[in-house]
Amino acid sequence: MERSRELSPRFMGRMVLAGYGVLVLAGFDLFYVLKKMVVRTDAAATANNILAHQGLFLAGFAATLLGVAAYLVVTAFLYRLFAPVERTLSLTAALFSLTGCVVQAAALAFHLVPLVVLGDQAYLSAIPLAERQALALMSMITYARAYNISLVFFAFYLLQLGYLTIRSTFLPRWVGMLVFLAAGWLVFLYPPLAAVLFPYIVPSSIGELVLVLWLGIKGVDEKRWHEQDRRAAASGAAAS
Amino acid sequence: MNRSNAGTSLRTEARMAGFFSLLTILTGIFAQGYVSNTLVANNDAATTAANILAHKGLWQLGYAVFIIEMASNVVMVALFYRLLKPAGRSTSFAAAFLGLTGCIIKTFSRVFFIAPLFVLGDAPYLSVFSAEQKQALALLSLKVNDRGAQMALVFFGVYALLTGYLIIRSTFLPRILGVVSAIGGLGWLSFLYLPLAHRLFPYVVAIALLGAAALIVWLLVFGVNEQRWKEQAGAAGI
Repeated sequence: MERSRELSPRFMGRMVLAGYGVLVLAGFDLFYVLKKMVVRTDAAATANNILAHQGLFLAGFAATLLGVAAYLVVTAFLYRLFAPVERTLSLTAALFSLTGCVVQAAALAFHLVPLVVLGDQAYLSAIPLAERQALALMSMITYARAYNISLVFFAFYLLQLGYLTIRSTFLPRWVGMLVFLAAGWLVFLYPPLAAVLFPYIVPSSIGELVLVLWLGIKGVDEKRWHEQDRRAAASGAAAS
Repeated sequence: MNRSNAGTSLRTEARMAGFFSLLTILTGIFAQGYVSNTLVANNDAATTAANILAHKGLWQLGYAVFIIEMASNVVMVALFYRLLKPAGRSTSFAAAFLGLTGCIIKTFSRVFFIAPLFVLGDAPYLSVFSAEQKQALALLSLKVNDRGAQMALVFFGVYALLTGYLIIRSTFLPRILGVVSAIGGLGWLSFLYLPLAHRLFPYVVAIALLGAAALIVWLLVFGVNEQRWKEQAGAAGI
């Protein structure tokens, strides 16, 4: 049977969980390194923190980049896992996640700028230290803003995954309903609202977390997944 | 037909492709043509800064609409990929990647659209810059935003060329729509050389909008010829 050459949905689910695990570790940058080093009102303190802990700062950068790479893997496997439900929608969802990932990866350039602009190269002496410190902080704020753009795309991504979960025959509906909580991330369309609501938005990820845990630990109903996949193939929406 | 598992019907997908194309154009016209063009005074940093600060809400709305424009564009790319696949599988795939690349570049450049709001803000760390310097930085950021969006146009140009080619090759859409789309795509390629783009801009936009409008109206009103779509899809082994 030709299909047997393909990865099993159980295996793909475990890969999703593994990739998501790497992503959670990447949170070390956002929730520890940046939180500790970036003082939004004080450019000099921020600059001193970054220069005093360059290794940690770079580790945070690397963790985020690795997180993006892991999420690309998660996206690819989730695309295949949900293709039997509705192929076009599963593709659209994947394109949203890809957009979010690339935006986040490009944003990371701003994460590195402080080390460049705070360096001791001769050409930088044309700019006073206080201004360079302000530029460094401005760059970190730009990073945060670009990161926020990616969150909007991830919100749209998760809303589509929630719908696909509900329409699937191989996952419980309530998991899909929980994934819809991700709509909370849409507040980043309007940054002032996001700034006020941020602590309350974090639980928006609960649904995604439950979905990923379900896929990795309990796994999809394999029999039903294959059934839905075959039906999709037969009706011309085959995943290849 | 097992509708629930075949996904949405072809007719609906064609309509949705038309709808999201329309949404992309309308949101783009609002954010760029209205918000950005009324508040940004070309080469006048002080006026631009004053306008933005006086209409913060509108500026933020423009930003949100820009992001929705790109979200809508991503949906459009996915739907056209699926719709045009029977006319050429690899070409359609390549077109989708080019379209997506344009979307991502344009999405990312929007961070330079929102940056003036915090550059012009009154956070204490900004006091090392004079008001003129902050205004110049804000306008500079807006110029970078424009350049980013213009880079994306080149990708959208090649995208429209390939889409036009696929429509011409298709048996389920009128060829003339493909011809207009391809000509519109050629126009966007003028952004490879900005001085040329600035001279041709009004014509390029007019032709591209005309082509897009024709395709949108056709998709919304007539959709695609389902019988022929299925035949061509079958022949292509899709």
